[in-house]
Amino acid sequence: MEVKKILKYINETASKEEAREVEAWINASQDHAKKFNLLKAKHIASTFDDTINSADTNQGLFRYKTNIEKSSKNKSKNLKQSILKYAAIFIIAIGTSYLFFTENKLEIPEDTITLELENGDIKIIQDDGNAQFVDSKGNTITTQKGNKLNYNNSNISNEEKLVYNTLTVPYGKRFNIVLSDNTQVTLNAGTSMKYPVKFIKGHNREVFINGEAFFDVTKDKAHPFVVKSSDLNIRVLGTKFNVSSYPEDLNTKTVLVEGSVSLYQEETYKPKKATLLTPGHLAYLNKSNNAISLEKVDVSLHTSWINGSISFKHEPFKNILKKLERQYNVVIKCESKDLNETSFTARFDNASLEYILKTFRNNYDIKYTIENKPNKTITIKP
Amino acid sequence: MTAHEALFRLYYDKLLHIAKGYLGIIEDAEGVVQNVFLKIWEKKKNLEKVNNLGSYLHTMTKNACLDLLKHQRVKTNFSNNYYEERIAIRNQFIKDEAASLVIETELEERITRAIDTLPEKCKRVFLKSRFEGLKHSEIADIMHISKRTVDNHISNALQHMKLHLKEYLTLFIIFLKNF
Repeated sequence: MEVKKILKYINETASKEEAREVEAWINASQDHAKKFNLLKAKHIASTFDDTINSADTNQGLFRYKTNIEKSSKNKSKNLKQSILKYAAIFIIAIGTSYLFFTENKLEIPEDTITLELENGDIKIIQDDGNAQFVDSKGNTITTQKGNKLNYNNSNISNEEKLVYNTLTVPYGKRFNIVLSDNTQVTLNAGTSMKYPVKFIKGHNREVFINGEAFFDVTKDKAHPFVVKSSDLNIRVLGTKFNVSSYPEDLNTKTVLVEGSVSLYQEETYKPKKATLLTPGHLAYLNKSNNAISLEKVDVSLHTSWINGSISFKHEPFKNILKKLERQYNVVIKCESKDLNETSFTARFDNASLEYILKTFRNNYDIKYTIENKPNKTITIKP
Repeated sequence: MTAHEALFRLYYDKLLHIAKGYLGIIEDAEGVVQNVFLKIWEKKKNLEKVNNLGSYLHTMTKNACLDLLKHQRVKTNFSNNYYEERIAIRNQFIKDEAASLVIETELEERITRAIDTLPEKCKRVFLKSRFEGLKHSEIADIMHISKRTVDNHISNALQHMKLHLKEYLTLFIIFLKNF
């Protein structure tokens, strides 16, 4: 590639076609990228004067002082400061991944399954109901039969642009989706997924997940299927696997049942940098240091939730409680720190919450109280 | 003129240039650099561990740019692969260490030159302590901090002083912390 062309791109004087050409060249190899980076760095280093001459430092300083004042005012509200700080962290942690989920939300009861259409309309999905959702032109987007939404039989014509829907499943519920390529997805409680109504030829099949889901992906080598979560991307050709990426969890977990998947954290997939997962293995992404570790596991432990089971193997009590909260849509408080860190192994098949709590009480000498108002809250005492 | 204002005047336009190089859009760059300075002001204490101010500010600018790109990536809804690719190219550029070094070296060079042209008042704040020979106890009185804190700051600062520039900037940090 000619240096002249690259410089034109860096100067932002390249035409659209030229820009695409340079970008393709950069992406072709790491060597190219390095070359481009160095060239661009030198260009930045040699053009400081352009910005310095045009920058309005006084105006910048004025803004800076205003910002400081605002910031100090917030600080003086000392009483709520620490709470606000945590609230802010919470909102950011969720916010980054929920950006596309929460805009335009209306007053909708918290415990209903909702479907957000491309235009921002939010439809309530009745449990076990039958319904049909149509777009503005009257074309059927999807049909609901019981606890399943089907996109495989929509009569939308093949458009150029990807049109997205977002399904949000609250605590205490699960739901199934059949995507346009016949890929089957089961969403666990407290999970949102954003996905195209119809995948487009020549584009990767991409969906965005926040929470836990089981995927049975239809094979299509020409169109890799990519599951994107806030901190991990999972790329597959055709396979069955489980992803758990709740914002409040410290780990993003991927368990492979069959086939093979690649995990990567970069924006774009690079085979050399990706981690390959083989069947029967679990990949943990530690969110605090972004390290991925692999572990051989009993797959059924991680997929039994699909059938309403809850299973855990040597799992700390606090994690178990979080699972129960999601599954049964309750608040559980544990007042014993020791107990929180104690690990348990158990499996419950379609058991009621009361049954599970009783089992703990009878076997491990745990006491608890249940309050039903305003929300169902269980307090576990040491 | 406070030390923070002096720091702003010294670095603002240069960081703005770098951020614009990273993001391509001047308005985005302005927001990013404002945030960097606000963070510096809010977290004065963190400066204690800093021994190269230019490098520290450059790193903060890079991180703020990466954050913004990440945000843009989410906002684009991923519907546009081409746009995502551009963001990816920007992203890897910011992370490229060789490129960073080229930019940072030039930044330091610019700062050295700019210090000579610093506004008179700002220069005086700095010179008072270092070159007018104020005792540590006197600095402590003026700045309402304990003498021991001044001792610590100065000895920390001395450890990192190798060049004239570094000496200047390290002492700058002491002012900032106690502002």
